[in-house]
Amino acid sequence: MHHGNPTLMLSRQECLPVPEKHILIILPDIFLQAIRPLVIAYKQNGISSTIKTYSLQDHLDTVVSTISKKYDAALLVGSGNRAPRTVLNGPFLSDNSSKRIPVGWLPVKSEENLHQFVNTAIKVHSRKKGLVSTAILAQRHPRFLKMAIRMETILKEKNHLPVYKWTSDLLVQEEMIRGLRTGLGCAIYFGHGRPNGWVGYYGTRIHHFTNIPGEPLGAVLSLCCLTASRKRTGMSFSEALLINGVAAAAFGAVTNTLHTDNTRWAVRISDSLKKGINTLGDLILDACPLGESAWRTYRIIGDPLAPLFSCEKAIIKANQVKVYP
Amino acid sequence: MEEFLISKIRKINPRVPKEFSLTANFKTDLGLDSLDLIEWVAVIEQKYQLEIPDKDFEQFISIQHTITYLTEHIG
Repeated sequence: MHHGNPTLMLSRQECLPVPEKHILIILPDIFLQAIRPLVIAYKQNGISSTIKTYSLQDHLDTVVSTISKKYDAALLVGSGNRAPRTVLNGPFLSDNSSKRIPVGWLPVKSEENLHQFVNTAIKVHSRKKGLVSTAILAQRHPRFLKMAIRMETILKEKNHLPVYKWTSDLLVQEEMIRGLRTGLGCAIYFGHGRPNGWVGYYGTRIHHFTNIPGEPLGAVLSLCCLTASRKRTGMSFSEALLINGVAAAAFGAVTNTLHTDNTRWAVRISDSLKKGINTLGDLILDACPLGESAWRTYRIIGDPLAPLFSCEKAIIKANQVKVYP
Repeated sequence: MEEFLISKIRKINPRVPKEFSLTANFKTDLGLDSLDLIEWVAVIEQKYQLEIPDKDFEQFISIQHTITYLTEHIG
């Protein structure tokens, strides 16, 4: 048994500065006051916001069509009755021009849902800039474990990003979740996925996260099938992560995916993180594979500008997570 | 291109020998498996900004075959 993974050589980490951004927030008019604290947090973080409201009677497709690409990102808040697949066509707005902007979908069934998301996003945006930390998770299967090993190797090639390989062969689910709940920047999962969770770790559902209190992650990326799909479930797993305050953003698929496409994502995400990319939206834009099949199935849930920085004590706590090689 | 490809194949699978022929078969001579080859294609796509359809994977048999494919597709 040994403790966690390495690397507290944080001063050597390459990290790009966070440039000023402009986000468009579109939400039902009844939620205008509830979003204000996030707008203030954005401003303190160098992000300016433009808010547009719509009536719940308005058709959501019409609302989506008004999103302009003059912004750096957009957050669309809407009825929790809408499945992610039916709201947006992908993780970003794309047309014939080269510019893409990441768009996050936030389904809310009550004002309480929005308050939870806002509180989580504020926590993540208030973190000290500099430490992009990554947990690599995988189902216990040679195909996925191999990808996790490769991703860890790529991330450690040049700089010393804090990387934690917590694959299912090394630790039990509870320890893995305790590790994530230390408040790391992002978690990336490989394996089989279902609308209600990951197949890995003998089945991981939202209640496994909510049973263990802790700090939110910046983003959870599920490079697998269906975690943003609502097939035979209420809220999908990716949405539930947001609504329950586990993360400020999630990236998940609304249909089945191909292992080849997910490998493309993994290779590119590793390189983007190495470059110092430090928000989910930038990561998705930078790492996006060229083939449409690879990105069309995915959606961003929640804050598209969610930073991938750790909370202050996360690295120390994450290093204490026990793994069993 | 050749130098990049050789260095990358070793990173993907460190057991690849230091010296090998450009025509050495990835699977039978260099010991790469199908997962290595998926990563190989992903790396090439990223480096050369090229979209490689999954049906073309079987054309990546060796470094030489890869160079031929790239020459044909990136001009």
